[in-house]
Amino acid sequence: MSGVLEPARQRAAFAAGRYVRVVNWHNTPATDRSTLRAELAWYAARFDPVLPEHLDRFVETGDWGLERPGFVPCFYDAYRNHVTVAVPALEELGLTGWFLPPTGALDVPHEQQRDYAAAHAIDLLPDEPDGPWLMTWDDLARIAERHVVAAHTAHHTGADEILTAEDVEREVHEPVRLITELTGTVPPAFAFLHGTVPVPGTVAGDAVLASGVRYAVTNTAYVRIAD
Amino acid sequence: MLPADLPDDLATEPARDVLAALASCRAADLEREGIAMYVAVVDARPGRGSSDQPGASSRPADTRLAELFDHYHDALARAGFPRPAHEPPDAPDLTGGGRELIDVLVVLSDHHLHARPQEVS
Repeated sequence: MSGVLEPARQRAAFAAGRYVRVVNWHNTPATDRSTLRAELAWYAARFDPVLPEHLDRFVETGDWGLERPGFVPCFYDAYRNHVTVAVPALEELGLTGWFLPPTGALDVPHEQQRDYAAAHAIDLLPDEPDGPWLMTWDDLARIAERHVVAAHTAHHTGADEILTAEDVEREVHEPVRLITELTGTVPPAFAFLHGTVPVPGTVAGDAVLASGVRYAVTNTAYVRIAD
Repeated sequence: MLPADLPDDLATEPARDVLAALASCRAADLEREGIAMYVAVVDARPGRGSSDQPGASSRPADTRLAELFDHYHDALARAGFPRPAHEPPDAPDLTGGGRELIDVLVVLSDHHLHARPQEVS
């Protein structure tokens, strides 16, 4: 697993055609609506959106089953502006996005969201002075009808902060369980804060590897970890 | 001469000044920008074995991406993989040991994959 951080292996994966194009967004404020729409249109003109089943097919057969190169538009951290800006743009363009919310953020009342965000490395923008800044479970349920929902811990937590059985339950198992209940399917992917690799033999790494989630999303690779 | 059938992200000429490209990436407001990345797809399931280095494909796009990776990796390696000027020397690597590789991928992907909608006709 640690090999995904070795430059030689990354190069070999590229040379072997075992790679995918990903674009990661965090905030998508209304002030950037036209830019986001234009960028998504640029990608949509060149690439086909990748769904989990495309990844599954590629890992098993080496064939994406897509007409054009694939790309994964990802949206992190449960921002409310995903609901109001990103999702409409995606759907106007016929794209499927991947959304990775820290599930604990979905429970935070409006009046507590600024403090919660500050305490959990979720950056709010000066051009959005008024909340709500974070989406709700109802918002995520609406997103899940047409998009992919994957896990990103409960409270935007790094692997190095998950050390006890209680941490594992809160930051790995419960988010996976809650997303499963919402969507009716185990989330296809899991990402830690900072995109760190789930290293076997660590508390956090072993928890993700045993979670039933099929892919670990890291900074350098989408890693198939379970059937 | 590049193959004619490359996707246009991979047909883009590589950045000549890779350190300037890195500085440009670090100056970006990543909190509100789409961060483009070419990432590997790896099968790490027990017994699958394909997480070992796979053989090269014959597709020109794959050869091109590997060559572009070399271009950016080698340039940053020659410069000693510089850290951001504002970063303390003892700053922890929050990525778990992948900072240098991530820098390579960020610069590579920003130059080649990042959307350039002003070029849409």
